Amino acid sequence: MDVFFGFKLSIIHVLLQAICLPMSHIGASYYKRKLKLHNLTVYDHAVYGGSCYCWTEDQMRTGPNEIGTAVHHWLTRKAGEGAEEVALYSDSCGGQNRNKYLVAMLLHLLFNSSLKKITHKVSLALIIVISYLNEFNLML
Amino acid sequence: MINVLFLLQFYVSGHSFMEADSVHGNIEREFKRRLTPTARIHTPSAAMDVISHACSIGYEVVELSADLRQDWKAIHRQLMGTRGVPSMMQVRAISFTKVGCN
Repeated sequence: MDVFFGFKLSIIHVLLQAICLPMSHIGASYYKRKLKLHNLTVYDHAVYGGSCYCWTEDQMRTGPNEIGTAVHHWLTRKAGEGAEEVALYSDSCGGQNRNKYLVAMLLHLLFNSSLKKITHKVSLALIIVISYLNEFNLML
Repeated sequence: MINVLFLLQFYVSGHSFMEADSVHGNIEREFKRRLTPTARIHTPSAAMDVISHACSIGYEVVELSADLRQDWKAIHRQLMGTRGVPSMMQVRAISFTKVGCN
C-alpha cells in the first residue's frame, strides 16, 4: 500500500471521435467536406468533473504531441493547485496514449514541476476497457 | 490429429465503464438536443459552447491552438538520447517517482 502525500488525483483521458462542422439538417451540406473538431476529455475523479480540450483539424493533428500538450496543460495546472501524486488511466491506443513521447512528457513534467509521482496505466486490450480504481489492478 | 483449444475470455461485468465516455455521451446528447431543423451549429466556437453546457454543472472547455503545441519528440530525444524506452508494446503501466525530495 502506498502512502500518499498531499492529495491523490486520478484522471482518465480519452479521445473523442471528431465532431464534424457545420451541423445542420440541410441536405446539400451532407456532401460537403466538413471541418473536424477534435475533443480530448480529461476526467478528474477528485472533483467528478471533466475538461474538454478542443482543437480543429487545421490547427493540430491527433498525434502524441497534441495529446501530450493537452495532458501537460492539465497536469501543470493541477501541480500548481498542490497535487503531488497523479494516476492516469487510458486505453492502449499506440498512436495516442501508449507511446514513448507521452512517457517523455511525463518524465519532463516530473523534473519541472512539484509533482512527485506519476503513474500511467493502460488497459490490456486495444478495445477501451478501463475498470474502476481498485479493481483496475486485477485486469492488468 | 489436431487439438484445438478455444479459450473465451470475458471482461467482468460493470468494469468496462469509463467516466470520460459518459462525458462524451452527454456531449452527443446535447448536440442531438440542440440540432433542430431550424437551428444549426456552424462554427467551432458554437460547438464548444454546446460542449460547455452539456451537463448541469458544465464542462470546462479549453481551446488549443497550434502555437501551444509542444514538440515532445525533441524532448524525448533530449531525455533519452538514442536509447529510447523499451518497446511500448510490452508496457502495461509506467510509474515515475521523484526521489530525494521532501
